[in-house]
Order: sequence, then C-alpha cells, then structure tokens
Amino acid sequence: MQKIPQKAFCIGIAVFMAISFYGTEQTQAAAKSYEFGNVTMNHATKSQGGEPVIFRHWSHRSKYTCRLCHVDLEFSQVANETGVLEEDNRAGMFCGACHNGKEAFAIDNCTACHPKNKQHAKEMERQAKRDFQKLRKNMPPSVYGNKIDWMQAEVDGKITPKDFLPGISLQKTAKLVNKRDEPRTPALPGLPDIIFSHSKHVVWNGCGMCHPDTFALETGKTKMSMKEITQGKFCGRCHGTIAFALNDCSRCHSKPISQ
Amino acid sequence: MKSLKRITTLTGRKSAFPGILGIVLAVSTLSGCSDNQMGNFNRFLANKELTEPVGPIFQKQYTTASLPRAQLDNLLDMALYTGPPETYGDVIFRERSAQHRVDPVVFSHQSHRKEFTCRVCHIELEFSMKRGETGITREDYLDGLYCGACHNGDIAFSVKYSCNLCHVKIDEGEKGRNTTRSSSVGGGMPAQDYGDGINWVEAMENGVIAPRDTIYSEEAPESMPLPEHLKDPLRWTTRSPRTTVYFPHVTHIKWLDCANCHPDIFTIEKMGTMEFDKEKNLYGMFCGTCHMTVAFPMNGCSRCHPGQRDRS
Repeated sequence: MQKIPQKAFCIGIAVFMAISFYGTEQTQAAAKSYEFGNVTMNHATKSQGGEPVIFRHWSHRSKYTCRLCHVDLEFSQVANETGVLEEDNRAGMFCGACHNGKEAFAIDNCTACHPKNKQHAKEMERQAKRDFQKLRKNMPPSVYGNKIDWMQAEVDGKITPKDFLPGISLQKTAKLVNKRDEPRTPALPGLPDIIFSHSKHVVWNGCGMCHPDTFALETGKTKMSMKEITQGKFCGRCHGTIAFALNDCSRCHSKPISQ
Repeated sequence: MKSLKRITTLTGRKSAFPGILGIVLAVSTLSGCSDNQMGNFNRFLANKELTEPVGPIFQKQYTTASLPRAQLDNLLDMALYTGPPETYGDVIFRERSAQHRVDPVVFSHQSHRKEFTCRVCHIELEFSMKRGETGITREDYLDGLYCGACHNGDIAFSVKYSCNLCHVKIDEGEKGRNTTRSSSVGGGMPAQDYGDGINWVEAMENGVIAPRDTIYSEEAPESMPLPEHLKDPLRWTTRSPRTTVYFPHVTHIKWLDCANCHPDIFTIEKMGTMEFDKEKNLYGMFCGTCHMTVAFPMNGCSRCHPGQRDRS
C-alpha cells in the first residue's frame, strides 16, 4: 500500500526534473539592454529601510556628458564611494544640482526616485523598460550593452549632451579638441590592433575622467592586460558597466590586420 | 520514508539550484543513490551558496574534490535526456502563461536553429539562457521585442493573430513534454545517436542548412577575427587519467558570439577558469550551459574526447 503513492510521487519528480533541467546556474554574458548601466543605490536604505534607488545611466547620458556628473558633481565611479545624503541634495550637491525644479524635477518629488514599496518599485521598473524602448527606437542600433550606439547618436545630433552647469562647471572659452588616435598592438598575434580615439572620448569625458589617475599621460607607460580590463580596471572602468560593453570586441580591436 | 526526509531537507535550496536538484531528487528516489554521492551534492550546494557569482568567473572558487569516474557515470545517467529526439531542446514557458490563464508556450530549439544561429536570439534578441530570466510579456512581443522581432508577419507568422501556434495544450504525459509534435526538420540532415538526432555542426559544414547570423542585415555581422593561436582546436588535459579534450573555437563561433561564453562563463585567460571539471559540466555549468540541454548532450563522448567511444 505504501509503495503506490511513492511511485506516483516519483513520476511527479521525474516531470519536475524534465522541466526544470533548463534552469542552469550561470551568470549571463550580456546584461539586459534596459538594465545595462543601472546602479542600485542602497547605502542609506540598508540602514533606514525602504526600497533602494535605481539610477539609470541611459536616461541621464542622453542629456548630459559623463564628465558633468563624474568630475563637476563629484560622483565617484566606484559603488558606495560617493555617499549621497539628503542634506547634500538639498544643499545643491550631487543629484540636487540638477534636480532643483528648474533643470529637472525637484527633490521634493521623492517617489520619482525612491519607490514607495516593492509594488511601486516593480511598476517603476516596468515603466522604465517602456521608456527605454521608446528611446531606443529612435537611436542608432548597436548589438551589445544598451543596444544603442551612443557615440553615433551624438555624432548624428540625435542627442546633444550638456557639458555645462551654470555656477558649477568651469566656464571655458574654447572647446577641447584632441584628434590624436592611439594605436595599440595587443600582446597576442593575430588579433587586430586597437585604435583608441581621443576625439571620441573627449566629447564625453574631457581629460580629467581618465588622466592622470587611471592612465598616465606618457604614451605606453600604463601597462594593462585584457584580463585586468575584464576585472574593471583601466578601460574596464567604464567599458563593461556603462560605456559600450567589453564583449563588443571589434569596436576596439578594429584595425585590419596588415599581412 | 528516508528518501522523503531527504527531500524535505533539500527543498529549502530549491531556488539555488532547481534543475539539478530535480534530477537528484528524481533519481535518488527512483533508483536510490549512495550516501557518499548525496554528501557530495550537499557540499557542492553549500559551497555554491557561499560563493555566489559576484563577477567574472575567475573569482569563483569551488572547493569540492573531483568525483570518481564510476560516480560521474552515475551522474551522467541521471542528467541525460531520455525523451523522444524531436523534442530535445524544447523549452516550455509556463510561469507567466499560468498567471494569465493561457496555455503554455512550447518553444522548439530544433525548428529555430535551422534558420538562425544561437547568437541571433541569445545576443541580439536578449533571450536569456537561464529559465525564467528573460521575462517576456505580451506587451514586449507586440512591441517587436523577443519573439516579436521575427514573428511579425514579415519574417515569420505574426504574434498578433496566430496565438495557438505557440500557446498549445501540452500532453502532460510521463515526461511532462509535448510528445505529440513531430519533427519539423526535413530529411537530408546528418544523423547522430544522441540528443535530437541531428548533427548540426555537420549539417552546417555540408551546407544542408545555412542559418542566418544576424537579423539586422542581410550580410554576416562584423566580428573580430579569431586570433592566430585559437584557429586550431584547443587541447585540454583532464584531471583524471582520461583522454584529452578537443575544443574547436572555429565550430563554436559559427553559431555563437565571443560574448556568449567570454568572460562570464569562461575567462579569456589561458587556464584561468577555475574548477572547470566534468562534474560541474553535468550540473549545467561551463560547457553544460548548452551541451546538455540544446547542443549535443554529453553521451556523445567522442565529440569532445576523440579517444573515447560514445555511450549508448
């Protein structure tokens, strides 16, 4: 008598097994396009409760350059290093520099960034996905990362990222131009040469984002390897998390091999 | 009763490792398996929870010892697909469908891979390789995402009208699969004895099929050429005294993108992938990500270990 239900149970398990076999435990090579570059800010919500703020790089980089926040507004590029507080924002630092009711919505509109509860957080996520698809449809496509070719969008004039905030940014009389390309030969034979374009980086980053902290000013002095880059050093500081993804090999390894 | 007890202790970890757990449970209840092996599973799962992936795989360090060969054989038997060949690689999307009270979607890898390479869906269309992670909604596919990218009435039948072509009633038979559908792939395909019975690599080489590599353009996508030292197959020695493993990059990049595997599943560093062994493969990691569910399963031994015979 005992054996029959056990057998039925076994069959049930077999069914479960057959279906669930597809659930493998592997991290994904490519993040979802609408989540690429998202930053979860939870250093305050961890202690005080509430849902974390999801900062979406894609919605900001279509309007502002990287330099504006990461140099002028002193946002760190390392997670949990900035330490944004409410009083900072109210004093016009960090988010509060733009979110003042003039440049962007005021910080009194709390729930625009801080979800009320789990349900609200989910709704915000869904809405963000919708907004992202709307934006993406008008942008030049790319295969990886956000699936938007931001560089091309800037060149085509589809986006004009702001590089100046009155009262915060330094007033410059001339626009910075650096057209020098830096060719680099990879250590492995048979790989196409890397072409690093200063002119493409300067539009977004100026000089201070990279020099002299990440890269030395002298040519060839910074020794790096692709492994270190995949660990988030050097180029990997931005490429891999926010700028076009590291799996887009031929974007950098782009010079045809001369035979 | 003993086996039931085991189940209750294990189900707490269901979310951590659903697939393998199912297999372990099933086979341990059906045929009974040694305590030693069970202990190994438990240790593996426990270690896994401690070092959940936080980044690239070279940070992962599992500490379980290698399994003896006899136990690996046992494990392989548990994990292998045993259903009809034409439904190998079928994925049933049922979670969202059940919530909205519609029939589940049966997705056949077999009928799709004749037309498109893996990278089209798994890179360009952002289908996750992990079950339940993609999160496809009706809104999405009507907007031209996921299935809707091709199923728009232009490339393939439209998602707007032909609901019941994908949302089908499934025959919850012994295997829990749709066993009524016959193979949609025509004749002339090179055969193999395992998996879905079709040698896809050979089919592509012989020109029987010519799957598209991108949906954005008619031409092949621009891609970085393979470095010189990767053009020949890699030869890996194995931890236990078995035959060497033969890994051809050339065959893989015909279907996949560098990004499908690197750097998340395999590092780009030579010998840099930690704890890469057969046992983990059978758990669905590393090669097992594809080679137990969609690509040829691991009873085709000689495909990777040229010195070994296939398992029947």
